[in-house]
Amino acid sequence: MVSVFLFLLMMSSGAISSECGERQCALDLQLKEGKDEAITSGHFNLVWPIEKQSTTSESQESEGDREDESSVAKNSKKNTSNIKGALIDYEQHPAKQLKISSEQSLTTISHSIDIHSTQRAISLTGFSDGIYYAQLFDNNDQPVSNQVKVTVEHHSMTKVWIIFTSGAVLFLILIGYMVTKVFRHKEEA
Amino acid sequence: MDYNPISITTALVLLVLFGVVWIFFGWWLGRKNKSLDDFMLAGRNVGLAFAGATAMATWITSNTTLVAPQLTYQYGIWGMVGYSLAALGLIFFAPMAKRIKELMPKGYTCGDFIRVRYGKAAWVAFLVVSFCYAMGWLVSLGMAGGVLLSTLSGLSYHVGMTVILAICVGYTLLGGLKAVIATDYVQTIIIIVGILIIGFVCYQTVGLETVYEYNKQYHPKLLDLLFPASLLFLFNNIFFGLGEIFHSNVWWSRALAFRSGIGKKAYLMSGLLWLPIPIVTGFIALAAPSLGLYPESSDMVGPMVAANLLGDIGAIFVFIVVFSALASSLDSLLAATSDLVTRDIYNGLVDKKASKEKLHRISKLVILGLGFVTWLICLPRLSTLGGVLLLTAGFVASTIWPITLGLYQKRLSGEFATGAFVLGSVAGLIGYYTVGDYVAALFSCIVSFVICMIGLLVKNDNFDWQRLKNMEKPQ
Repeated sequence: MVSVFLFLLMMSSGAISSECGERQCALDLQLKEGKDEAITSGHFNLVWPIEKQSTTSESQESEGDREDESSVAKNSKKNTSNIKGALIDYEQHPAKQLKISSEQSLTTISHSIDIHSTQRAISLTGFSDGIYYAQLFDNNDQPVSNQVKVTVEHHSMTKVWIIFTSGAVLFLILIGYMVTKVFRHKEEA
Repeated sequence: MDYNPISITTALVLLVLFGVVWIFFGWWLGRKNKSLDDFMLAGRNVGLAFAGATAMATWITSNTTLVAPQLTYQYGIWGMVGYSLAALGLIFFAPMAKRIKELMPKGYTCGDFIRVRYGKAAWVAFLVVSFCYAMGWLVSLGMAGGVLLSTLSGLSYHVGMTVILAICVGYTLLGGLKAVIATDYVQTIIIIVGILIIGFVCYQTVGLETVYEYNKQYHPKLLDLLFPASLLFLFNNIFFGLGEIFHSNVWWSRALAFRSGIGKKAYLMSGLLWLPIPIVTGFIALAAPSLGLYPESSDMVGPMVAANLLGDIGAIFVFIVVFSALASSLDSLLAATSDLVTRDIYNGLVDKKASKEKLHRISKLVILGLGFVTWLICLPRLSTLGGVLLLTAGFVASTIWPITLGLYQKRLSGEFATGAFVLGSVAGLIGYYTVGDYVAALFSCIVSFVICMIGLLVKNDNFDWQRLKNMEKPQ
């Protein structure tokens, strides 16, 4: 039963898409829902996974974003780096902004979103039908990732109204049954 | 403000503090548990205040504090309204709670009802549905613990998930349902006060107009009343909420544990009080884009916005509120699923002559086992919280009609109830994978309804209610 449940869960998680096409890209930006997947809900996720080995360096750790971490590091760097690796999601990357445009050349930017140096994914929502292009940029406004194309194509309203009406009818039947039978039920002697 | 507003040390101190307090509370409450009835059903004597609080606290879970903002963030206005209508589950279950207590005063689980009312085939199908749902909810709660700590402190997802599971398993193991209900009471007060403060601060800081104008320009679908996916989601979520409550032993065990005459009032009260809460948590999510906050994963949006609005100290407050919400559901689910596994699977299928003392020991082992299996499934973090929950929607919505009709109609027979469970679940899964996660419950409920109606037309089971009062043993 547990294995069946695990299988269903894996199926629901979606596939991770392709690699970066350009060599100079520091980050590999991907559409989590799948490379050529049309987004039917206006909501999608972009991810830029980075390898742990290249980023959790000693130098980054000594900079210490947090007071408590730096004080611990002073005492025993080697031991704490192992503990940190296990406890903290801490890897850093050069991306500072995510830009989204409906043009491939990114000349008119519709969304410009600040990215934190440890952030590795972003969840975006509320997009209308259309094709969008997304890319990560660093502090100097230089691209640090490949460009990702996202196609948003909402369900047709015909399909939506058929399903919506079915739900509404079923709901009304249930309400009717509840009011006439369940709430008015008198216990038999 | 830092990306993660709570330091690792503070997060660890809070975890240890919470763990010690709740586990001690569980031990203190559980030390007088003498019998299986005490452990599983709190002596069948829970009064109105505790009954209302436990129903409400259990329903205010990661679903309300994490998934309601997530679904509002994804589906906009209808996501928020649709989520709050899940309160109908509690309101509609209110008269059923009274009926359940009257029909089976000696019963322990919802499985007992299905077995006696519909027979063994329906019972097995129901157990599969119920177990898939319970595991889905347990996994989503374990994941939520990891997500919460990772968002607020940067602490690894795996550490947060492991610790919250360990704490909840600890105090449920020591105190049984009595500890669960008592901690729920305290947690309800923390959660309601916390959510109201966060909602008020969000309204004061950001304001309705800013949220509206920003989303209208940059995320127009969130405000669109004809947003296709959200229209599909609306009734889906209502049926999901109904299915969750109608079938789950979390709610049946409470109906049986409450003192006579208390269940109906407690569920009505908790449903009406719960209704506005997802509106508040949903509004917080709608404010995220206007604050420049875009979460890594949509299920992080609630705590992320709240922590941003309340500052570093406020983030600790957010942590306490969400942690309480998670714990209140996780403990309830562990206790109720353990009852179901112990009574229905172990006592019903493995050892039919087991004594009550032995069942008491087994139920504790089951709680441990459930905690471990949940931890294992949570490890790879395969999906978002909403994704996991909506997967289970396809299963639970298939139970709405067989349970409602089973409680009030003598006609519906076991064969058709079994068909409704199985074919409804299959239809739900087909909808989930072919259309989207937002139609699984709807498809499941429609198919289940059609089968039940055919069943009522073609066969009259003429069930004798007395069989439930006597609580027949499995053959």
